Amino acid sequence: MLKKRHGSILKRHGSDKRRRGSSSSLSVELEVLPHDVIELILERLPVESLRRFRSVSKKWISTIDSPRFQSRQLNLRRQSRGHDLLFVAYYEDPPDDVAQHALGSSSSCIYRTVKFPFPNVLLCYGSCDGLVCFFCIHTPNVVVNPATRWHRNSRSQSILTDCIYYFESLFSV
Amino acid sequence: MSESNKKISLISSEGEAFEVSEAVAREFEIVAHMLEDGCSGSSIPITTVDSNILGKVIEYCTKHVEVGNVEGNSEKAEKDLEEFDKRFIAVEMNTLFSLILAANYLNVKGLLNIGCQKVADTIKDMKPEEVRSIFNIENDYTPAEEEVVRKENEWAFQP
Repeated sequence: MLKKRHGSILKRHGSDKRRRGSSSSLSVELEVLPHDVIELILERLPVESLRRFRSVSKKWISTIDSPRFQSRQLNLRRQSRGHDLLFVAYYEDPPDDVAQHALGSSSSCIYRTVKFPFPNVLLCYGSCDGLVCFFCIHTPNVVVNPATRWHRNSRSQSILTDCIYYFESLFSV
Repeated sequence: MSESNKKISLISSEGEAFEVSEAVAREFEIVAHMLEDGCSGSSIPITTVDSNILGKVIEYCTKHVEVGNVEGNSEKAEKDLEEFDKRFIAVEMNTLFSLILAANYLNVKGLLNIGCQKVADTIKDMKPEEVRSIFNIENDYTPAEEEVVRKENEWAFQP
């Protein structure tokens, strides 16, 4: 039996029948946090975790995918750790249609390899808030978010120029 | 403030009284609002928080008020406070959840922030199944739907 539960600040919504599966790692059943508190926790997670946690439940995916949540998350992460993405290096070209790049993050010395679905030598112009700007020699120029796979191609020189000015303004300080 | 020495009793769910200075009690925004609304009583019932957790929240607020009162706050004091926060929040998950619920209810922003950050750091690398179990969340996806959502993640961060 559990010891007396701390406080009864909120009624436990979710009775035991909602508890699925066995959690061998948790011997004590935890308080149920209301969803507005869960949102405060999610705001503090990096994008990789949030991508993974989209499959937790329908409520979580609708929170994580909502623009309001995303902008709060971005602001918090920005305050807490500056630029997420610092370094992109091209180092291999395995199949014809894929290029591998290593992405690094300054604050925690994390790096990982990402495959981008476009070949050719890319020159990374800069990054900001998890977006990476590439200048491509033979293909359209791209801005990519490697965490979400969002990317936008552009043949237009003016958009690239805008991007470059944008990144320059970020890195000139 | 002339009233800064005034004492207030906060009463836990078990009826235990915790005597604190008004400055510390005001760190609970819910109490600060009560006082501003003219609630002049010297004892305030916090019926939804038990003694164990209330004691901890008071410890947190007392420390933060003390440090806030030091003139010309030095870098060292701030570092000490950071260390204090780190130690304070290094508790088991069930205590952590209770602290977060209390901080949310009493509206102690600083404690709510560090509590949520601690949970975020803990679950960061977990699998969705583990997260469901911690937060007591029902998986309402059909296996087919779940597969689709999982697939959407595959492109990102392939090893």
